[in-house]
Amino acid sequence: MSRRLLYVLIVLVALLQTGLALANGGEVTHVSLQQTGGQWMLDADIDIHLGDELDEAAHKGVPLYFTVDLQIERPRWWWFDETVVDEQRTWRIQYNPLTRQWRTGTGDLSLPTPNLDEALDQLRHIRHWAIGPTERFAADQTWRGRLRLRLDTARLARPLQVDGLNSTAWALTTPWKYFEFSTSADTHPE
Amino acid sequence: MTRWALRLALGVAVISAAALLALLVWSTGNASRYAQQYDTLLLLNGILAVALMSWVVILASRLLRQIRRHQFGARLTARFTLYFTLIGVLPGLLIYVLSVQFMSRSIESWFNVRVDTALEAGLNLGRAALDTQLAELDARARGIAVRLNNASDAEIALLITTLRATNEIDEAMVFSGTGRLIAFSSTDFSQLLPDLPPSSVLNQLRVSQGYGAAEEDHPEVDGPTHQGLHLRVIVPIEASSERLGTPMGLGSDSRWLQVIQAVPERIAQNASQVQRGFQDYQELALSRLGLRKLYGITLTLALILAVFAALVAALAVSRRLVRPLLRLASGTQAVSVGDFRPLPEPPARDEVGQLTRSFNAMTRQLDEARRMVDRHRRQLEQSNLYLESILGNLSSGVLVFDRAFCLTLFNQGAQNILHVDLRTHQGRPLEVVEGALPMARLIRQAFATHDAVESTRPYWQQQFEIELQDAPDNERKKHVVTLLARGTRLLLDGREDGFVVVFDDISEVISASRTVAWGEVARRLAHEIKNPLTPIQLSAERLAMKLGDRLPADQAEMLLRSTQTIVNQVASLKRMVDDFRDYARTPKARMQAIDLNALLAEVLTLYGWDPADTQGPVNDSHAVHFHARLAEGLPAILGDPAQWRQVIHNLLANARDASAQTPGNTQAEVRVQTRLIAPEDDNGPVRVRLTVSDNGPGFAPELLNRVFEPYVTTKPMGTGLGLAIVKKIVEEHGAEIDISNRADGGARVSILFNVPEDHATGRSRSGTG
Repeated sequence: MSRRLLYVLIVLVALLQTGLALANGGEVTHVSLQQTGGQWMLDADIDIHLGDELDEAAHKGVPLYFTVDLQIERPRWWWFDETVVDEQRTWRIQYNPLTRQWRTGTGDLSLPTPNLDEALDQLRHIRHWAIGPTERFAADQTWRGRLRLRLDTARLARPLQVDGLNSTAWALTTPWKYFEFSTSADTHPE
Repeated sequence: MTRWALRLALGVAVISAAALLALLVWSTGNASRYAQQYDTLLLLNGILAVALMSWVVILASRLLRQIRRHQFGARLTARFTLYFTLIGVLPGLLIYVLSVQFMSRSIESWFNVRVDTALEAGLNLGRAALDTQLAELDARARGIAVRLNNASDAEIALLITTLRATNEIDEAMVFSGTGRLIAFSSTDFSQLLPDLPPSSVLNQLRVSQGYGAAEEDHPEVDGPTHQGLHLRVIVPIEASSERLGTPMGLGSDSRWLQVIQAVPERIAQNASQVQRGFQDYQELALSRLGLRKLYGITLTLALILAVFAALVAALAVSRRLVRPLLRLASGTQAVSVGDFRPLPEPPARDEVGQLTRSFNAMTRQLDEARRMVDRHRRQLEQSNLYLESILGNLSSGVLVFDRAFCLTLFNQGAQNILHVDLRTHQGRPLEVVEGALPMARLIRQAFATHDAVESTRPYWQQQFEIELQDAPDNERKKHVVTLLARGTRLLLDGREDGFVVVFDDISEVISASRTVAWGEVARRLAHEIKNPLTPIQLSAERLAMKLGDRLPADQAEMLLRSTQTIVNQVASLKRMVDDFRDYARTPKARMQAIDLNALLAEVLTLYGWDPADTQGPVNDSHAVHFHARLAEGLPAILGDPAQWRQVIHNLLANARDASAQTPGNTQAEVRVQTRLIAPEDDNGPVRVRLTVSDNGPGFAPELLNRVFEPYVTTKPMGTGLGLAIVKKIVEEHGAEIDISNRADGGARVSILFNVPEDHATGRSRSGTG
């Protein structure tokens, strides 16, 4: 009995995983890191386009939240990999039908943008995302990271979340983009 | 213990399932804290449903298997389950269908074209109001800009406050194309810094000659709080004379006037209300499918959980209901195969418990009844066995016939007497039994006669003489036996139902009575004949003596011869009479202790037996050879030595004559043996046995029963009194004699002597051996 139940669970989880993986609306095309001013800065280019349904929803004034997940790990052969960075950054894009204005922002800061495309440009080209001071990354090491962009359905209105759960249009998630970078002794300030 | 644990686990599972469902329903609410965990709850509930489903499947398949195997009670359980399930599921299904229908209809009814257009119109109204204000502000701004045309930066700074005040504008500002502030005036004196246009507006200014838009006061503040609106209009200012010659645009020397006017609070409030309503409506409209799904999923899950829970409950409850019935049923089956153990009685005081108790009472009674029957049967069997053993050990023969004269019962005695084997003939008429035909005829005849004379006696008694076939065992050959039979009708339950015949072999009794009769005859004859013999003899002698001298010689000789004949015959007659007298009236025995071996040796010596010669005269083939094996240490026996000497004489003479008489018997021999017979138990008397056996022809079967009677003889010259006298002496001494034929030919005579008590231990005298 318990074994049968276990099989059912495994199948369920597998279905859920594939469902999420299939429902993507773009991909992360480029990720690069460089050191400036004692900080590691991340630049990323993401190819993303909203479907018609999302587009229509955005134009009707439904606020859309996009979250970029970033995880950087240090490989450890003797134990689980150490997670050094695990950060999220959330953008909010909303249209005001009264003033006919678009606003895009992260956190408290919100800027008007003339149209949806320009609002999305902020997501498409992430520049100078400070992911941590150089001290955090030890010299002569290779780091593995991954990054993705997803529509944060958890911040949507309640009924839309259900839509987000089972409708592909609302399940906008890029696959993880894996990248590696190395710190060398000379770039690291002593 | 495990049972309780299982129940506890079940209870916990049910409670947690209910809690999960409640959480799921709660989480569909928009503001719920559990809204975030909706997916998890959904998954958990799904898992629960799957678990319940598999449980149901397992239970149902088990039930199906039981039904297929025709296990007792499975059908009843299935029927109970079906009904309970129907009772549980049908209302649930009805409510589910109604709810889903109701829900989807009511959700659809929220959204209709009229509301949609009304909200759209409201929004447009708000937009129009703002546009009107914006146009008016734009006109005023352009008026100010005209006044500022061609003014230097210093003049602009002086002029702007006046112009702002006269035009009733909240805030006015002049900035250069690079974004540098030139002049600023505001009604709000607390505002030290002007509200510079955002970079996107500046970018827009490069391509268009002005900008005008309504803006939110604090765009960074989310949420439903009240948001004020302001109008921002930017118009170009004509370049002053010193700046002439430079092209228009956002060059460093172009000048722009920005005026900001707050939208009247009432309009702003209403407009944003309309806008928020529109936004909410659009959100809802977009998510109506989601809403339906949300409620649908929750309802469906609830239904599935309820259905499976109902199924599980139905299965469990029906099992529980059926179990006592099954126990009763298995109890009846056990009773049918003879297991009368009581069932465990359920503690519940309901009807089933009562049923079980009465069932137990019934089985107890049954058990007692069966035991009683068993006891009676055993008693009956024992008494039957007892009767049968009595019948079997009875020396009398017993035959029982049914109404058709078929044999129904017989005993060993009957078989022995009739020398037939009746075991295979039970249920068949006696006539078909080989060798029993005369007997059967006689019995039938006797019954018929008894019926014919209509005797008042309930039984008949007759004496039969029947001829029997030779039995295979040589030792007890009989040809004619005398039977005393007694027959009666068998009365069973008051009616005549068969015949019983009891018979006895009375040949020996008859022989004995004949012996007695002969003794009497002999005594009388001896008395009657002996008396005239002496005068006859004396008269004859007297004739011979008186007349012998007077007669002529030839006549005298004849007389002498005749008288001699008379005297001889009288002497012979006397001797015969003496024999008779001896037989009839043997002199009183003078008892004394006798050494049997010595006596035997003494007599045997007369027959030419040599105690030293154990091998016997091998060279003399014609003489009868005597073998003696005399046991040593024999106790003395009590008796008259003369009489016993005569007995031994008689026996040895008979044996010798018999063995010598046999034609072709080259090695005639007589064996004499004495032996001490130990008592059967410790208290019994010690006895001594004398056996005389020969290898002659043996006794004829018809004679064997009558050898002790006078004048019964096999010898051509015998008087037939020898064995009769032997028998008489033996009986007078209280000893026993037995005569039989040996299995390998010849006869054997055994005499069993009693040993007096005081001589039993004194085995001092040894045999002569």
